[in-house]
Amino acid sequence: MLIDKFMIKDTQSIEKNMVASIVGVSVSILFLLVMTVVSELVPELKVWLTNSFSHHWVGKGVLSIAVFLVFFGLDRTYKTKITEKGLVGAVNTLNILVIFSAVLILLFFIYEGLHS
Amino acid sequence: MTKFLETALIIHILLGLVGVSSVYFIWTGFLKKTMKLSSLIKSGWIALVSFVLSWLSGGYYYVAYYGDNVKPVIKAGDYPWAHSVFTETKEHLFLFLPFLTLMILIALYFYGDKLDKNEKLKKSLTLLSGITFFLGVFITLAGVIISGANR
Amino acid sequence: MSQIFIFKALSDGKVSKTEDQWLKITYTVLRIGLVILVISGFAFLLHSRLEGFEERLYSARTWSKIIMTLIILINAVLLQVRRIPFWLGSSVSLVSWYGSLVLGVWRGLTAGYLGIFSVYIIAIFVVAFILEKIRQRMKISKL
Repeated sequence: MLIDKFMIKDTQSIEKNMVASIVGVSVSILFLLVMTVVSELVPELKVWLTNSFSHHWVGKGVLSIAVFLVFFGLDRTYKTKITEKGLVGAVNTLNILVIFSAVLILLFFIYEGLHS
Repeated sequence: MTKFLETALIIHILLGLVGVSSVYFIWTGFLKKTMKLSSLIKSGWIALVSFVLSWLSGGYYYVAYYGDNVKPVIKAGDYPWAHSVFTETKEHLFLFLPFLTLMILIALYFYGDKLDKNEKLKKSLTLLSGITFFLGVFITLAGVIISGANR
Repeated sequence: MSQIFIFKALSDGKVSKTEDQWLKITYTVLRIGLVILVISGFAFLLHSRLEGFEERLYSARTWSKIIMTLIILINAVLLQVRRIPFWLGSSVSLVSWYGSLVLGVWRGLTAGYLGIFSVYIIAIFVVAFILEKIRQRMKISKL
C-alpha cells in the first residue's frame, strides 16, 4: 500500500502512531463538544465561524481537522514510550469521551429545543 | 431541488449507509476469535472514504439547500423539534464519525496483527467500533425523522 | 435455511468440515441479504422523500421495519458472543427477517406499534416452541 512508503513499522513507531491518533481524535471530539455548546450560547462565535468559513458547521469541521492534525503531530513528536496497559487505558478513555460527548450534545439540543 | 442537490442527498444517504454497514462488519469482525485482518482493513478504508464523501455531499446539501428551503418548512410544521433536536444533534455528531473510523483503521493497520494476543486492547477497540456503529445508526435514523418532518 | 442447515449439521452431534463450509456460505449470503435489505429499505424511504410522500417516513409500518432490522443486527452480535440463548436468538432472527418482509410487502397495513409488536413477540415464542420441537424430534443435543 502507498502508506507503507511513508510509515516505518517498528514497535516504537507503531505505538507512537497509535497514541498520537488516540490523542488527536480525543482532543478533536472534545473540541467539537465545546465548540457545539459554546457556539450556541455565544452567538458572536457562531457569527465569526460563519464569516470565516461561509457556514458555522463548515468552520467546526475544518477546525476539528486542524485540531486533530496539530495534536497528532505534537504527540507523535514528543511522546516516547507507552505501556500496553496505557494503550488500553487510552482507548477506554476515548470510548468514555465519545459516549459522554454524544449524550451531552443530544441532551443540550433537547434542552435548547424545549426552551426555544 | 435541482438534480445536483438531489444527487448530493442520494449520495449522502447511500454512502452513509455503506459506512455504517462497514463499521458493523468491523465490529462483528473484532468479536471473532481470530480476526480476518485484511478484510477488516478493507472495511475500514471503505467506511472512512464513505463517511468522508457522505460528509462532503451532505454538507453541500445542508449548506446550499437545507438552511433556506427545508429548515423553515420543518420549523413551521407539526414537528419543529425534528430540526431543533435532531438536525442540530445530527450535524454535530456526524463530525465524530470520520475521526472514530480513522482511529479504528489506524489501530487495525498498525496494531492489527497483535490484537488476537492482546485481549484487553481488542475488547476496547471492539467497544469503540460498537459505539461508532450505534452513533451511525442514530445519525441515520435522525435523518429519517428530519426528512419525514419536511411537509 | 440457516436454521435448517444448523439442525442438519448438529443432528449427528458434530459439525464436519463440509457442514462448516456450508454454514459459512449461508452466513455470507445472510450478510449480503442484510446489506440489500438495509439499502433497499432506505432507497424506498429516499424515494418517498423525493416524491413528496414524507408521511410514510413517520408511519408505524416504516419504524417497525427499521426496529426489526436493528434487532436482526444486534441479535447477530449477541448470538456471536453467546449473550443470548440459542433457542431465543434463532427465533428472534427468523421472526425479524420474516417480519421485515411482511411489513415491507403489506402496503395496506394500518396496525399501530402495539398491534405489530404484540404479534411480533407472540410469533417469537411460537417459533421458538416450534424450533424446539423440531430439535427434539431430530434428537439434537441442547445448543
